[in-house]
Amino acid sequence: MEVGTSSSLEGKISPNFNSQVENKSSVDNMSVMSKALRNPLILDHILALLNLTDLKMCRLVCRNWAEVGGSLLGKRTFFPVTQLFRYNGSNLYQATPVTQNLMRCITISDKFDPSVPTSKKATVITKIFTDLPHLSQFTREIRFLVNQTEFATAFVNGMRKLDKSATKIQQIDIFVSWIPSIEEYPAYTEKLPFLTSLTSIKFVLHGLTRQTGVDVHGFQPLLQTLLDSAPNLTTLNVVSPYYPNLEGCKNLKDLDFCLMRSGHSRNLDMVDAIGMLVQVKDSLIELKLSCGGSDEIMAQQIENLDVPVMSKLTSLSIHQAVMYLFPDVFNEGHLPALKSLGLGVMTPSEGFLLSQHLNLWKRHRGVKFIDLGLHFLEDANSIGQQIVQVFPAVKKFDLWAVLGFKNSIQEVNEIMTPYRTWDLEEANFRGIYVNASCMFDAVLENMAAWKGVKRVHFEYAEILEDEFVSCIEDLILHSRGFKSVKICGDVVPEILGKIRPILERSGAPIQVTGGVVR
Amino acid sequence: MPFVNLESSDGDLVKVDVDVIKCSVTINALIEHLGLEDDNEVVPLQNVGTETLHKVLAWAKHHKDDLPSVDDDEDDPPRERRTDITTWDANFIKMEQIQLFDLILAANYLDISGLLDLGCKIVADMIKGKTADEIRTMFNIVNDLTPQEQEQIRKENEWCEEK
Repeated sequence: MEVGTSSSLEGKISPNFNSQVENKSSVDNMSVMSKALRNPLILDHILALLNLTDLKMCRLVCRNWAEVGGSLLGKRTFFPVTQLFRYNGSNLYQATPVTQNLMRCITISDKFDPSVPTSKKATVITKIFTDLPHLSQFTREIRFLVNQTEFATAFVNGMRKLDKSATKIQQIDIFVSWIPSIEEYPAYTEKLPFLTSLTSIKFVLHGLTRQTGVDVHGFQPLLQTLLDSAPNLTTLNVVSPYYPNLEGCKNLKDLDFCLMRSGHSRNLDMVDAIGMLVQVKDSLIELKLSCGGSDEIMAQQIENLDVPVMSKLTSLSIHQAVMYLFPDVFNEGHLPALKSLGLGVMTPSEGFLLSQHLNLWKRHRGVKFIDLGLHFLEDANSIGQQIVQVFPAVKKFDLWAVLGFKNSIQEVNEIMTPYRTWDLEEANFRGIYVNASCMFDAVLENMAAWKGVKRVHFEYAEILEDEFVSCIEDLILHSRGFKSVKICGDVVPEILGKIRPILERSGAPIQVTGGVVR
Repeated sequence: MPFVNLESSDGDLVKVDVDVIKCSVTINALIEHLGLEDDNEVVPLQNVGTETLHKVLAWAKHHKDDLPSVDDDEDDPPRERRTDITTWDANFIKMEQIQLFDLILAANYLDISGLLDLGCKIVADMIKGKTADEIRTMFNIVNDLTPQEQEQIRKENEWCEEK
């Protein structure tokens, strides 16, 4: 098709693309326009820029737009397939067909159509896998929201009936909201066939198992059944009171495990934790360990653990740090490829325990990036001194700290001084809840002595306007040499209107979007 | 090879610094695979008129030092894509709509993602907040959906839950 150029045209096109074809320019306009909009790549590009409301509206324009828009919608939404089924007194049936593009990501939940009797609900969940025509071929992602054991069983039974050779399911996310009862959940005796396309599983168990004094499996067998059927699993994210058995996951690269402790304080079972890591020691590249559910912690120092060498692990993140202080692990011998380390101090007593434990670490010269989070500042100086000793080759450092009401300039000095010795290329500091302008200055003065490109971000700041204005010149002075200084918090537009011109005139790299209040 | 000659669909030759047009995946591939080794070689662009070609080159010249964008992973589903338009781009893209769609077609043919993003962003802004009827009128599109199909799409739209 010959595409006209405006050099050959004299007419002007109306600004709102009036459809009346009156002259050559209009004809050419429509021709060029329709050629562009008939191109599926271009149309996809345009529709991908729309929000969901506009995208849904575009599906009503014509058949072509419905197709392209449906494909995009299917990637950005979940389709609640459970609600598709109706019951007419004797039969379960699918109320309406659904275009295959929208079956890409589906939700299976306990929200059923009112016509479905309680006794048939589990049957609906199994039928989803057998009766929906596009599920085997087009579904990539399943989100399963479950609160009853019989639904979990129905889910597994449905998975068993999938066409394994055709299925393209890559990701299964399971969110369990479960009220513990005396019911003990049985382990599945029959394994699922291998799902070779399944590469990602997320399993979040909200139910707390020990509050009632009954120690049941929860829905752990559901997770284990899926893990055992996923030989090509690369990504696993688990929130649970139990360590999964990863024996069948020889290709797991990314593991994010949060031990959800429940009821009364519970120690970490180091042996079980090590046991889980041993199973994936040869494949794991990224590892994140964390704990939740209780503020109390019990650090354990267990000797003679058979700690694995994890030869490919490049990134390790531990929050709460003290919960997973395996003896004699964080060194070049056990983690030879480690490049990135994240540590989080989440409770007041943890700082002391961490600083004591850091004494035991051997030097690791491969670590180039450290991310340190301090919810509490106790023993932060001691932690810092240890960290710069143990990891001498760090080039990028992210530090974030809660600088609340109780903290003083002296504490800021103690937190930040140790890192001056690092030969950094990049340093980022995030300070949370700053409520005195002197803290801004203290952070900037301390960080000025660090090496590298420096950025500071104060989040949820709350500084009185008069105080901020009186110190603004100091802030401008101390921000010299920084790449950026951002201050965020509650927004008072009139105050920002006064502050911003002063900062802009100064040329300082300071951006205030809030945090200065009356 | 510092220069390449591009021939527009109007038959005009435009000599271009290779460094400027490196943003075009199509022309880069042609240069590499056809082994154009001399400054007199001509790359024919059958789908790009002279005026549009000059606009493409103006954009490419301004953005020649931009860092390459990271390609979207096909398996990583896009949210509503957001692209901020710089003042220069905003002024550049102020043009008649026929030129805008010509530019979009050229950016697509030449595989210049930044320019395609810019053009599509303008069209997306034209669509925002419009009804299906208004969109059809604006772009002269015939509604080939049956009432039943439209009703089906409305139902599906209602059911879809944002991720």
